[in-house]
Amino acid sequence: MRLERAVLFMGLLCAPGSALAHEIDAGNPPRSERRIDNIDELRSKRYGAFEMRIAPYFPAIDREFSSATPYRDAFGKAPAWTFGLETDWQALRIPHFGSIGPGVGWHFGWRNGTADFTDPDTPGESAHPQRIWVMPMYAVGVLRLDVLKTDLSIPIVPYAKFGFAINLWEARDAYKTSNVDDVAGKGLEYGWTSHLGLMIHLNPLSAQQATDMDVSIGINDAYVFAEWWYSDVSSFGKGMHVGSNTVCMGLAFEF
Amino acid sequence: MVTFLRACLHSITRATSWVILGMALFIQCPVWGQSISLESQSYRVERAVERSSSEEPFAVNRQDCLDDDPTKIDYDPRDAPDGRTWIRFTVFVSGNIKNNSRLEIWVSQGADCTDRIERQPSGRCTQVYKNSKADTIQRSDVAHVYPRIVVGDTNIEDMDLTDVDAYPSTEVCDQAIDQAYTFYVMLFEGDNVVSNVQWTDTRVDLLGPDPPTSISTKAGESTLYVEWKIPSEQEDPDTQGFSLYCAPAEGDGEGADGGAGGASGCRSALVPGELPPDGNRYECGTVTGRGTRKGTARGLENGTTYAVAVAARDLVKNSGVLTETECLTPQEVTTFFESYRASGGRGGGGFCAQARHPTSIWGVLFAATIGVTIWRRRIRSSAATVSSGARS
Repeated sequence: MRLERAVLFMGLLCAPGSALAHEIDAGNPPRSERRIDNIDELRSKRYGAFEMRIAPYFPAIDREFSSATPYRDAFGKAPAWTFGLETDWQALRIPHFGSIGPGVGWHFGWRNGTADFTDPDTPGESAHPQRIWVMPMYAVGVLRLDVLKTDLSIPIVPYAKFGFAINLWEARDAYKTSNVDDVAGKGLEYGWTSHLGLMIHLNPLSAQQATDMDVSIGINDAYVFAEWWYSDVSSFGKGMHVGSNTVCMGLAFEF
Repeated sequence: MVTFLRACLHSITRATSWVILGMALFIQCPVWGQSISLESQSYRVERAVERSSSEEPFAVNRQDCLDDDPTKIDYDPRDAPDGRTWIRFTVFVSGNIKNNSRLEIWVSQGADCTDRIERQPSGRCTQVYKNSKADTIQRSDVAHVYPRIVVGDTNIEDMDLTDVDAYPSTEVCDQAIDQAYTFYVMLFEGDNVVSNVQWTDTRVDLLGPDPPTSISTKAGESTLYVEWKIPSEQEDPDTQGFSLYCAPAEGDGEGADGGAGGASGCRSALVPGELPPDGNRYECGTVTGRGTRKGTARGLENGTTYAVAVAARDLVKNSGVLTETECLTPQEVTTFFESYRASGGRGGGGFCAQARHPTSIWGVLFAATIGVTIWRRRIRSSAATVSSGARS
């Protein structure tokens, strides 16, 4: 009753008389309103993160040999561009520190080339197509230090990931799997992967839109990120070295 | 009154008896009540290489015509799967077959073959099948029609089918025919057609689309990579894909050694501007799609010079005439994986090749499982501590 009187009083002071009269005449009860001092109160709870990733991939295939460079000879020095996705579960959230939890990631990329004639004196140019594709997958533990963002309003979130990696790969020529002495040119290698990176918080660029995105689809924060990605994936030296030492970039969303 | 009712009942009974007797006679005696008639059952072209439903399997193409080879045994899925192509009609004959009955199949491109005049030598119908032995006409009868007879425009009655030399040659298959034919399966009694069934819109298409205007080729290992061009204004709407033809270069004459870089104009069985010789004998690759402009010729021998040409292909898989030929030689290449293995690389063998080093993978998975289990237990124990603290 006291609240209604207060609202009525405020209305008399601020609202046009005709509008108030209309609301009262229509018999509608005045709406109760709660003052929101901090916009973060509207935010939903965070559960995890989702990343869209792009990385130039340099398979460390030639690392298997002391002097031979079959990968560079076939495909040159340019990278195989990979595109990937990653999702993390922020299982443990530590106030004034960050979050810890598991995550899984998937990438895919390929590199095309042309196989040269075995006899270098053969006239003309070979058109024999060849390709290698790599599909890095990993399960990692993820540590995101968002204390700078939450406590100091510095829009930077450093993070680290470390875990187990499995890479599928296939070498193809003339549009089919390469084969040498009944050994198919494809395999599955495993090893470990590590990622160290920085995320830049995008919400401050447009706080209202960030809030709207959270209210409408549950995305709390958006980031761009860049990370150093090092993986040693060679079945511990017994298979093809399809890990990489590279930089990955992308967009991340916390939800 | 009773007498009147009895008389009425008697009359009704007699009338009913006559009706029942009449119906019984109608059913029992086909000569009186049912005339002879034909019903169509099926039509199919039986050929060694089946065509899919999207390739109009009921249409007769040039290859079907070529495969109607009188020196071959008639097609049979078990005994002669590579046999002679034919068109198989199945009809059902109901009613009495008389001694002067005969079964004939006539074909035309628009004329009504039930009209006696059209069946005259000056008419527009061609007789493609005849069985004049009434005692061999079956209730469910099968009639075989040969494609070269259909396109050869000669009445089968005037031919000696046992004379292979007199049979229409493969040249009849080179005619520019793309027409819808109507087959008339007719049952005659004497000179009268007593029943007939028709298969309309049976397509006979011996004409392939126009070829690309130019080609270029590059060599690979046991393969040749061919690209071609067709100006948009010269694109044939009938084109559904392209066939690549490879024939070994002949002799040691000019251009016989095309090299891996390619050269035009070596002598071979492929003649530019003409249809591919011997049907699909020299076909070394196919691609689908009217807009496709490159393809791969496979299954070639390294070190052998081939003349390569391209022909467009239509919906019923007719090849058109060949482009100019280009000559080149597939050569051995060293692929990445060959180089990798030759350098001592240990990778490969398939996605399931972990049997090479099972200890490592199982060790890693075991360690991961232990780690996850410990981690989950710690979370549970911390949750239990929190809840017990809350209760106290």
